[in-house]
Amino acid sequence: MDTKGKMMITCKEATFLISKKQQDKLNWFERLQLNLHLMMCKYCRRFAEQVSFITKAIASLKKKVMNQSAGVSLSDEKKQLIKKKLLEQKK
Amino acid sequence: MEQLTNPDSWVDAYADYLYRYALSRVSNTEIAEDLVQETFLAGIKNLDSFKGKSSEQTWLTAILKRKIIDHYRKKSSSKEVSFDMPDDRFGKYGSMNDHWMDSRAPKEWQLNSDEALENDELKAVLQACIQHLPEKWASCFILRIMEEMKGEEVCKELNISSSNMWVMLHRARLQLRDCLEKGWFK
Repeated sequence: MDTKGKMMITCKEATFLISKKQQDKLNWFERLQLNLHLMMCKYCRRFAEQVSFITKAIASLKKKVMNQSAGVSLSDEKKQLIKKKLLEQKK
Repeated sequence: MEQLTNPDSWVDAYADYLYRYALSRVSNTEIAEDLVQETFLAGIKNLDSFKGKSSEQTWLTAILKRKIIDHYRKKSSSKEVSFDMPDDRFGKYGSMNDHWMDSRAPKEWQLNSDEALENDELKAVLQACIQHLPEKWASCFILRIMEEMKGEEVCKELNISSSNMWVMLHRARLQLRDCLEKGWFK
């Protein structure tokens, strides 16, 4: 994205910065551009809120996968097959 | 260590965990099953390298992670994606150029963030949305966001530039947001 030092950015550019902000620090000028845009744009404010919610939800989803003890499991059929293959490999 | 020499108990002890892990990172059950199988086979082949410093589960998970990276590396095309590629979420003409189209703009979500984060159904929808990400954005998103690999590593594995990576991650987010809105906040 090339915003060439302009102060007013488009929604397309603003959403990109919002997205980038989830992983990386924006520089001071990007922050200025984004905040200025957010002051004027309802849709991008929503987008920013929702994206930050999604970031949190993903973190919580990952935790759930790690802690889950019941529910989804590998089929017995597949387990037997893997055991067989492991035995073959050991020989 | 004893368990490792006995594949039967090995599978019983770790297959479900590895399978759930794989399933949260790839798009379907078949691929997840294959990755688990490959992980066990690679594990038994490389038993010597298991130093007992980490738990068996951690060691096997590390192998699985590598398998997941390989899976996406094989799929990745290093074709450039540019920020300027068309996106019909945003207008094309005049003063609306590159601003949200009303019809595609984010709708208001009736959301109590804390409650929603505890909601398992919402997580299930989110997981399905991640699994349905278009392949061209998925690889980057999974490795960077789900696997939490460093940006440089992701670029190296997928052979893409860092600006490409940012665009892909952004496209994946736009897509995820749309999907969640359709699937949950209708």
